[in-house]
Amino acid sequence: MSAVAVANEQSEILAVLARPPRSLWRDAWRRLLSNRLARVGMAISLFFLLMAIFVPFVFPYNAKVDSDLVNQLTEPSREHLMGTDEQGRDVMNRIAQGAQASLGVGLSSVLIAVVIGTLIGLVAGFAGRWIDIVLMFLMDIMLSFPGLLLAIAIVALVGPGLRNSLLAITTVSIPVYARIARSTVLSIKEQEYVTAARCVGAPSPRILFRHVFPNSLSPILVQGTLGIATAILEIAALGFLGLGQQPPYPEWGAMLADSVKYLTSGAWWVLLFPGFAIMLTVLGFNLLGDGLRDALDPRLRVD
Amino acid sequence: MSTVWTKRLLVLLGLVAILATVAACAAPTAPPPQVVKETVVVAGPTKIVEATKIVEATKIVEVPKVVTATPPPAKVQDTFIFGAQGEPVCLDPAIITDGISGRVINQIFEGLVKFDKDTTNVVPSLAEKWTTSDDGKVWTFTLRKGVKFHDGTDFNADAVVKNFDYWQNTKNPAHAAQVKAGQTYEYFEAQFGGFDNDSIFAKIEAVDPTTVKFTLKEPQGPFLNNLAMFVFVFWSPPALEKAPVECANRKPVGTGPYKFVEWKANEQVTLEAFADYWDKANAPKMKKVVIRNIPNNSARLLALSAGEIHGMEGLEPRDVAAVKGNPKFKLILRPANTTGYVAFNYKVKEFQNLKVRQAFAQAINKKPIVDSFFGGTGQVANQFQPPALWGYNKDLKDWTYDAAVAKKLLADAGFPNGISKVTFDGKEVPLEFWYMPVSRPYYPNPKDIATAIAADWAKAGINVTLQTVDWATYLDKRKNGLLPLYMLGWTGDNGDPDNFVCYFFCMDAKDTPIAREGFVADKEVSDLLKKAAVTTKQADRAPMYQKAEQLIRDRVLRVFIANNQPPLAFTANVDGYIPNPTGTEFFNTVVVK
Repeated sequence: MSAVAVANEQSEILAVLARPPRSLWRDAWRRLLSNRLARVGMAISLFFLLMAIFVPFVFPYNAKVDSDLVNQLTEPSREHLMGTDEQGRDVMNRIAQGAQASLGVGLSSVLIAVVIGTLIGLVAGFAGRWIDIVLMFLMDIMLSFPGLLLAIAIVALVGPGLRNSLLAITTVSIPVYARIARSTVLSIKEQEYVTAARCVGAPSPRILFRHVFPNSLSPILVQGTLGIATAILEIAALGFLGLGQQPPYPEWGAMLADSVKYLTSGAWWVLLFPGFAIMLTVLGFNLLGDGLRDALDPRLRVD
Repeated sequence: MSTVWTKRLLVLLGLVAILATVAACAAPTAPPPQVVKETVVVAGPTKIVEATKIVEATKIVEVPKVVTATPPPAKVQDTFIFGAQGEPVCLDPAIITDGISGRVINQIFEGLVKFDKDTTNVVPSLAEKWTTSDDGKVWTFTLRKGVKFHDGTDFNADAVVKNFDYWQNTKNPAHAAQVKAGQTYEYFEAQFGGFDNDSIFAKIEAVDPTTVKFTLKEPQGPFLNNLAMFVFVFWSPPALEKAPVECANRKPVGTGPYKFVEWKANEQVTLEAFADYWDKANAPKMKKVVIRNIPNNSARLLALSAGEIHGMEGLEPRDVAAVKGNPKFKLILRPANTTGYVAFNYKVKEFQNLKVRQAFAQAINKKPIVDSFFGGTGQVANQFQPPALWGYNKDLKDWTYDAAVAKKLLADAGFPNGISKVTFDGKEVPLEFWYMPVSRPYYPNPKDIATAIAADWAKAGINVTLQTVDWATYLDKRKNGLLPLYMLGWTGDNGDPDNFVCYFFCMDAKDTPIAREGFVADKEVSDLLKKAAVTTKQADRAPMYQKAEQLIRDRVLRVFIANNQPPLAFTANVDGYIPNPTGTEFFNTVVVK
């Protein structure tokens, strides 16, 4: 090894040391941004999110009085860019207004499920013994039903409606997060820094929330993002079956269900555009979730 | 992992794009009827799975599929094949109530009188003529001579008496055996008051082989219309005695133009022309008639298009235009015998106010609703009876649509800000408008129609919450008067106005309002209708029903939306099919060329 090479290596090391420290999150963010598909996913998700948040404020919409039967099922035109539906309502407007139902339920169901599921998983994994057995047994029972079927059963029990489908979808997705949280906790529990914390006498809750929880966050974040996509699909499925959003309020799945019967009369636009909206949002959140998974994987950590 | 996902999604995107193009191609002109949709299976958990698939893949559910139509095979000219919506329940006319069994029974059996062609006018069938006593209590029928049952037995007064005994005498062995097997004689009970001593018949006698005399306890206005119903038709007495108890094995034997050959469960019923049919002028024109069971509406249209069947019922409203425009098909509309309505529950305090009800009526713009959601087969209704009935009031003027007037009426009634909450049975609740979860002849698209009505109301300040529940629960809730405001309809049984108006607006014997009809209580209307029901001359009865309709309209007891003419589709080579409003059609006039 020549002296120059040694000097170079040393200066490189010095350079690295001189750099401000970067957190895992910052690192992940950079890697996420460098992934083209993830950027596309982020853009799509952001687009629909902004739509869901701002459209109802900027263009207030009263679904109850929206009907214009004279213009029933008109083709896309300059006036109605995506045509009109069976009640003569503007399809584009209904899609934009319907984003609130789909994304609102999608996001909030995942948020609630993540909080409850993670808590259950953390407690089960950390406490072990019979608490673990009982909690996980319950989660296994719930997991043994196909998600949508269980959601339908719950809605059938409490009655159709957007709020009840939120409840159903949340309940159905809790066990997924509980399982993930528990499995990460099980591996983190054995790490040296946890043993160290225990040795210095840190109480269990502190260990759980200061040391274990932050380190188990990344798989949950990935699953959560992908979960939003699933939740949007589920809310659309419930809407399609008439169990979700009730008429006359817009929701993509319900819009699909209402317009299916008009396809044979050639009205493709009432079906295509809500379908596209569902597909695009799901695609967006899936791409973003995939990107997050890659970005947060420590094994893929390259600079 | 990530790339696999991406690939999958790209493939999916491509798929959707392709489907979009396909759909777009089908769009511009009215599609030919061969464009048949593939329907999602609607049954229990299967439906769920299928539906999930649809949404997950964001595929378009119903891909128009062009079916290359084969011309109908040439050799079926001696057979008429009809596609029915379901399986007959039973081929014993006395114990059924459904139209699908009724259609088969019409071809095999005959009664004293029948409905003429495409009207509800009663004309002679096995009875040549009849007379009524002045008090309307004694009816004497003269029977046709030389009529034979399919088994060779002679038809005579004795056979009539024996059949009536089978229907009304609970000690009759055949009747008792059916009751024991869990069957009911629902229509006899409903139209003739009950069994044994409860029935309206005091005496039924065979005066001589061709004369039957009925003595009634009370005169009955709709008596002839009741007798013309498809269930009051005659078995050959020896065949009835010998027939096994189980429905599936009961081989029907009547006097009709076609005789029974076989019933293949869940497949078809085969009938054959009866050579000794008495009415030579209307002798059956086809050698064989087959009534096939094809429950799925789209599959049935597909069968028609492929020439597997010659005619069908249960055409979807959305397919009507396509059938109409195709020279391969013939569209026949059955004269309207249905009325779809919106009913008030009078336990809702606000609905006791005439002005409020009138506002509800005037806020609905019926015409565009009927034009948009009935596939072109509906007509706006302004009263309960469809125009084909003789009690129909031609001079009645409907409430005009006027949202501003409706608003003002509400303000006058004390609701200047509109109505969104009501007091129902003492509790303040949001006003719910219940719509039917299933499509019925009187409301082919209940959800769309309800949404449109609700939007019309909202424009006049009436804010309702749309509600529905499964069909059985819906009917049950309605029966117990638990729906505050709801849509429903009626299909007439026997073409008598009584069967329409009195069933809904007559209070019971003690003049208590009935829960089933939302506790509607109008004594004047109820009394008028009850009087009409015991009057025997049609000329006397018609003005009473017309007056009742006027009163119902003036007091907005209910809002009538539409009469629908159920569409029937045939291949172009079918002639002579005469649709009757009651659905009792006779196939002896049908020819397949």
